Formats: sequence, C-alpha cells, structure tokens
Amino acid sequence: MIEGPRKDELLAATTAWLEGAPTSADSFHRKVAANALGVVSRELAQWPVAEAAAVTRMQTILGRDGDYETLNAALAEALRDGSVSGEDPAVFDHLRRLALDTLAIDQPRYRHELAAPKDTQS
Amino acid sequence: MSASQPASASDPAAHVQARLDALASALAPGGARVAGLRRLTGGASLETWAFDVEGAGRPRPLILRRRGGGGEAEVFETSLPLPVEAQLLKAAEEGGVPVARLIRDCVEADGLGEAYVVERVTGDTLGRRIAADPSFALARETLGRQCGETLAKIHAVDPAGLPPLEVQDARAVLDRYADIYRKSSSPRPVMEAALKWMEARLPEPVAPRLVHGDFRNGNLMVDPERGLAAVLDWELAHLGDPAEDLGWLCVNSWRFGVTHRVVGGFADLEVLLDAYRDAGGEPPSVERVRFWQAVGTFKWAVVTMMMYRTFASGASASVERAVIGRRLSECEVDLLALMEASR
Repeated sequence: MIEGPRKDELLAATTAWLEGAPTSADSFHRKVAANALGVVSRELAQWPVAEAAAVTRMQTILGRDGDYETLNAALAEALRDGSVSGEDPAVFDHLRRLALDTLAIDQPRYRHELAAPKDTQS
Repeated sequence: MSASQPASASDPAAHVQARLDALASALAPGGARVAGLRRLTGGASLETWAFDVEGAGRPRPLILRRRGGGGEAEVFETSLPLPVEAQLLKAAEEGGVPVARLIRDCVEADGLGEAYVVERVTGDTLGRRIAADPSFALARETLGRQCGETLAKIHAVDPAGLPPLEVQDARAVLDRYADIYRKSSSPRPVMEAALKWMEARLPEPVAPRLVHGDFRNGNLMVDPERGLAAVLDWELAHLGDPAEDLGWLCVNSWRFGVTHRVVGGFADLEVLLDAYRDAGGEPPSVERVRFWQAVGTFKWAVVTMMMYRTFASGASASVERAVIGRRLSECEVDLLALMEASR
C-alpha cells in the first residue's frame, strides 16, 4: 500500500543530509530527519505481518492467489470498475485494517476518527 | 530577464531593498527608506518579505509578495497571477472580509516583477498553536463564529466585479484531482473507493460564487485575544460551490490533533453554520459540507503524492519533501472515516 518514498530513498537522503549538516543545523530539520528514520524502523518491524494479513484478506475478497502488489492492484481495479464495492463490509474491513496498519508505520501519533477493527488480532 | 539583471539573481535581498527604498514615499506618507527587510518564506518561488518604511511618521510595517525565480520546485502551477490576487484583496476588503490591506499593486516600473505590497497584520498563523495552545484559548471562543461570518462575506462578493476567474464546480474539481492521482500514483484501493463514494454523492450544481480555495487553519492570521485578524493566501481563489470552503476548513489535517473540534480544531460545525446563516449566508447541508470535506481530503492526499514526486524526480533533494509522501496514509484513514460515517 506504500507508494513512496521507499526505504532506501529515505535512508539515503537522510544519511546524506545528516552527514552534510552543520552542527548548528536547525532543530526542525533534525526532527524531520529523525522522523524519516523512525518510519523506516517501523516499516521493517511491522510491515511483513501487516502485508501477510492483507494478502490473506485480499485472496478471500478476490477469490484468487497472488502476491501483495498483484492483489492490491487487482483490488484497486475491481473497485474502479465496480465489480467490487467499498460498501461491502468485508472490503471495507480490509481497507480499514490496511489503512490503520499503514498509518501505524507512517504516522503513529496521528489523531483521526476511523474506528478500530472489531476484532483487533490483525 | 535574468541576463539583464544579474544583481537580482545573485543577491535578491539587495535588489529588493534597492527597489523598495525607491518606492518608500509611495508606500507610506513621508516614507524615506526601508528598514528591517527579511524574507519570511523560504522554498517556494512565491516570495514573502517583511519590512518597515521609515521616514517622517511612525514606521509602517508592510509585506511584499513577489514572484521570484528558482527556489523549491512548485507543486501546483495553478496559482493566480499576483495582480489578480491584488484585485481580489481589494474586492474582499470592500466586502468586509478581514484581509491585509492592499498598499500597492506593483507596476513594471517598480522593478520588482510580479508583486504587490500589503499592510503587515500582527498575529499568528501556526495551526497547532491556534488549535491547542493555552495562549489562544480566548481566540478559540470566537474564531468559529468569525470564520462563518467571514466565509458568508466572501461568498457574497459579486462575481461581476471580479477579475476573470476559473469556474470549478464539484465535477470539475473531482475530475482534476482524480486525473492528477492517476498520473502520480499506481492504483490504490482506498482512493478508488473514495472516488466512487464521492461520485455517488456529487451535489446539485449551484450558481458559482467567489470561493477562497484555501480557507483553513494555517492560512488565517489570528490574534490571541481578538481572533481572526486576516484571511491570507488567496492564490487558489476561483468561482464555484461555496460549500467547498466550508468543507476544506473541516478537513482533519487542519485540526492539528484536536480532532473532536471539526472546524479547524477550534470549533464545532454547528457554530460555523449558524454564524454563516446569521451573516446572511445560505448554509449548505451537512451532507454537502461532508462531500467537500472528502474532496478536500482527497485533494490533500494528491498533494502529498505530488510533493513526493518532486523528490523522486530529483527536482528537490529535501528530506521534508520526501517524508510528506508518508502522510498519504493520514488522508486515506480520514477518507475511510468519512465513508464510514455516511453508511
């Protein structure tokens, strides 16, 4: 579900900046750099489990096998052409879990109004 | 142009200082020179400078807005030309909208390029502080009402007296951002589901009114005691559905963590709509506001994609630009929350 930046882009850009930064570099950009590395750490720790769960859910919704990228693209296409509906409870449940798992990696402190999934084992 | 003006390219501050010094008497009665010139915004090609005109009277605090060259890569190429923005500021002020008063709509002979000068209004624009800091508690008590009144006044401005502006109804706005999304990203299930949700709720067209286009916490100059002091950043103004402004103001990204205060993190929707009605506006239905809130959330999602693209394409090397791509997940969660609330 992650479009970009990729882990390697974040690490390369952040490392390059930290290496070149004068010691007086302002704290705002230091925080931005630290946040970028936090995203990478969380992605490494949390994404494999979230991705596997998403694959299982999408296999059930679409009734076919495939890896995450293939199934995710197929689901997007099915939502676009109307053969799958976002109002379908199973589909919405998948979107909710995927969005919340991704947010937990990208911006874990973001406050929002989307309810947690009914059973929280994924 | 840069070839004939090497000075402006190598040292924009010296160039701006010299040009403003020459204009001092036109910018303030008895004005003789310009002091304290400083650049307020880095990055974007639209420059903002603060300065004071000194001379016979009291120093006059002013702001110069100017289209410079270079700088950080632009995200949108849709910003209004500054002379059009200057005319809008004048029309809005005549309509009773709190804005920074226009002092000079610069002409070519001023040597500043595309530019205008306005009064410098005191206050704060920092969204997080306005939504949550104790020093703005008093302002928050009135800000929701003031926003409702102000939006009603903006939407009451007669379009016939305005410079030509693009008409963008719900269909046009949705199509524009759907198109940018498809060009900027591989297909995403939440974005596709959100598009379907919005398509199914496309509101009936209304007679186009002046729409500010970026009326949100962060673009409002707020005084800690008196509340709304000026509405800033008119460069996305257009003609369209007034509910667009109300919905955009409610987008969760502009609540700065104070999520239960739907309006900019400082007021409830009821307060905004009541004030809008009391000031003579015809308040849209809550469903219509929610529709535009979803469009606004979708739009911000697309902006995060485009900011990441400027990094990925090599146009910007900024880590800040890169990580904004990871705020897309905030928008997707907010879109799902809106979809769920309507089920």
